Amino acid sequence: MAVAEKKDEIREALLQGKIVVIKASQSVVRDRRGGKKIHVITINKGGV
Amino acid sequence: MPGLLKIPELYLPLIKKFNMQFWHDTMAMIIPPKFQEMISYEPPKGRAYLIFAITFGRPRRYDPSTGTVGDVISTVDVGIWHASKWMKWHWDPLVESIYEIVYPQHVLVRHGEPYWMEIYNKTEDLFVYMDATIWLYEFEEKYFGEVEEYFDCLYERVAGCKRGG
Repeated sequence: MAVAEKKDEIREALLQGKIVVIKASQSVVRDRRGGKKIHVITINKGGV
Repeated sequence: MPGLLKIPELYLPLIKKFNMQFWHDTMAMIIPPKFQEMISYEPPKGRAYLIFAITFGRPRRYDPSTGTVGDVISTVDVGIWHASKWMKWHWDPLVESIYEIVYPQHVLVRHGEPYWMEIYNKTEDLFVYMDATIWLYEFEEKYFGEVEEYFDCLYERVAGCKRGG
């Protein structure tokens, strides 16, 4: 599961006060501060 | 569990005319405590979305030290304010009357004209895991104006006057 496999990456982002978004699509999710408040993890086709 | 999801029948002519493709964008979010930020959601360049529903998973506690999700929560201290072109700015706290339903939408977005959400977590120490699925039809952005016009024309047929008149 991506959440488990990426837990270190997720923890680091959370400790920086960022929201973590995990998705697999090409849609664009972003904040208004050049990424200072969001960390996006994109799941590749077929898994993490 | 949420009720059945239905494709609006008024969309059927659009699907054929503009070669729309159905899919759903499912994502998981982990929101840290003391968080508040505007987040935008939009298609990549050249694409547009006609969004007709959102479903939320049950929000749960998240433990960043172990990377595990825990108990389901229900709280007004965590949630989303959101709006779009045809949607008034309003509040979606993470309570059962929100996340236990199919949330109907009628939203058109394109690159540069996104769906805005202000995500907040006013708790002092609660990390929150939640997932959300956006149900949509995707089409080429060049048809965006014609899709808007379709809805305007429907309105004129039903109401017998121009939109806003």
